[in-house]
Amino acid sequence: MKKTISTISMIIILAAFSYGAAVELTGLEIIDRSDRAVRGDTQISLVEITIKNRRWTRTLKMKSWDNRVTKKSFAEILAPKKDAGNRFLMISKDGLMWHYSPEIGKEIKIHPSMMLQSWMGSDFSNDDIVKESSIVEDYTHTLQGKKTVEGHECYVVILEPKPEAAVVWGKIVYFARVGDFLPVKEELYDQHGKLKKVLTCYVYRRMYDRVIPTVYKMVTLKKQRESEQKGEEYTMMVIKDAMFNRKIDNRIFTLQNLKRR
Amino acid sequence: MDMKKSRIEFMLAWRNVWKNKRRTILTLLTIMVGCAMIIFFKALQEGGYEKMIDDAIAANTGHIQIHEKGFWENMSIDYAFKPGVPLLVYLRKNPAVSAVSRRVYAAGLVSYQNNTFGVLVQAVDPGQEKKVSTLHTTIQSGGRYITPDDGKKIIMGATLAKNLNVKVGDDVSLLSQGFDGSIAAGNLTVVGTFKTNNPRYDQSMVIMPLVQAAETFTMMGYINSLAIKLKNTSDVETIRDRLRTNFGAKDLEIMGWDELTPELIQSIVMDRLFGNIFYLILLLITAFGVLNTIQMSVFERTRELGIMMAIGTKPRQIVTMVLFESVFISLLGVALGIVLGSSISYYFTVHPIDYSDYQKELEVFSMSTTLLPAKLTVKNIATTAFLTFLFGILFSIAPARRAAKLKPLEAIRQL
Repeated sequence: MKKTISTISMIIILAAFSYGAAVELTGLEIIDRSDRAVRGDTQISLVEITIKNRRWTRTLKMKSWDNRVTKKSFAEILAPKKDAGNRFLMISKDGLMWHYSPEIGKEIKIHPSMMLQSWMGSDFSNDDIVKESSIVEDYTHTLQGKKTVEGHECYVVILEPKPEAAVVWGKIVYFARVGDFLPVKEELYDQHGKLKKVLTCYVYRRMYDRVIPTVYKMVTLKKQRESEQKGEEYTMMVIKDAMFNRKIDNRIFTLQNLKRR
Repeated sequence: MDMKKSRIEFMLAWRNVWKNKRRTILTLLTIMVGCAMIIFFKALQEGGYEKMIDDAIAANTGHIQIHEKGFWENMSIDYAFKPGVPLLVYLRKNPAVSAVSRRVYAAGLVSYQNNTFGVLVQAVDPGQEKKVSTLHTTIQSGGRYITPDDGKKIIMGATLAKNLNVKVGDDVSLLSQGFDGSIAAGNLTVVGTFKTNNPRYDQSMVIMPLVQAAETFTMMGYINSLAIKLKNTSDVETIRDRLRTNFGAKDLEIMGWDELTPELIQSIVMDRLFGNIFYLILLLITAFGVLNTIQMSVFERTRELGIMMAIGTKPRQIVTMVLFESVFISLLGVALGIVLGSSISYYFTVHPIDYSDYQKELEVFSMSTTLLPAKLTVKNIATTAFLTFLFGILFSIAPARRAAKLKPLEAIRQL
């Protein structure tokens, strides 16, 4: 009898343990799945970026090609007319970035140190746009628990940069939906633990093979306080179309393509 | 000390001073030279500072600048304003204001062939700007300053031109961001290079006509800065404060040259500190000279003083007498020192020292002129005279008291 009880209890404990192991994912696993869910080896997308600051609101339309394996990306601005035809080529493996301006009629090489600067006056940095750094490889991940954010039940994962990683943030608090790991919110902290930017995701839509959030809203907090009386400032990126894991011709990522008339 | 009561001491002191002419003249010389040296060095120093400040302001900064709040910290085209009519009228009507220049600033990249450098574009109305800054006088030969209707033409710092490998007449590409967030890009012809000797300007500044900048950067009537030149540098604080009370309440920051070039103020403060240490040492040397002679004169007169005390002179009277001697010598020495120091200073005000051999060193302080005239001020003369006199008297107290402590009997027996 005694033996039976101990065996049963053992089974229960083991079962509970293995059940827990099957469900309780590690922070790394959650972030990895989340990253996979919204990105592929390649991505061709059409986005609309709306920048609202204290003076003006403007909307850009941009088409971009990214190959995350070879770490190359290419982007072209389609609208407004004034900026249309400006193209960007990034080969991050070699730390190279070019900007072609139709007004100048040639390309200008941009120094890698400018990667952290604001992209076209938006709340996104150049790095945010081309996603050079990786939330999977450049950070350590700690699962903090679950929390309901924006109406979604989310895992809360704390990301802290690895010592050798060349990243901007001191800490990222990442909220991913429990069911499908899709990101809901990212809180970006600086090296001093001060909350700097908040990225919130909305409108989960099907894009060919998968469902992804299609609206990303980035708010810079310091700017927010300064402009309290003048209304909210933000940058909103709306993904109009996105195709993942399609083969991209390598000729896209060349200076010839950058300079084509 | 009551003059009436001390009349006898006064008389005795006056006669004692002239009894040993050689010693008196030596003391006088010590004080005179010490005092004159301090006045002269101080005049040179102040003259140098004034030149540094003038150079920094005149080259490009201006006496006062008005921006939208936050501009100076962020240096971004985003911080712009439209100067209101009351402000412009106030500036035009104020007799202390000599000129006002509207400016647009934009950070950008300038590229020529394979070279790209980060620059600060400063767009100005050449007519107004020439009245505010002296940068147009530093254009190197072969080039020229911009004109209002120059269009896509620019001038740039000599070092920047050298780094880019650009010559006058070449076309460079500018890539920047407009006021409305759009991409501001264009090809611009370099018509001149300037050498202000301020590394900040020479290495990274590009100047273009305001009319063109308004278009390139889509300014929509906004500007980033109003640079103001006053008739007198000394009016800066008054005018700045008045502007602040009248127009600074809202979204504007109104800054004087000292806030615009804090590094200049810092170097002057440091330099002044070292200068003051040097003057203190000079004062001490002079004072020890006085101490020495007074001490000697007391020592030589041991017998005489002993007799004076033996016939009823009180120790207090001895102290008073010796101090009077010191006052006479110090006063006379300081007076001569003022005359000498002022004349030397005046000579170097009229004939400035030429430091052209040290041009490289001066460039570190952003100074473009190598002629540094001395500058003599009443404050300099007054403080130096007062301090030299004070130190002379203070250092005479010890020998005076020693004289008073002499014992008449022993003193008389001494030779």
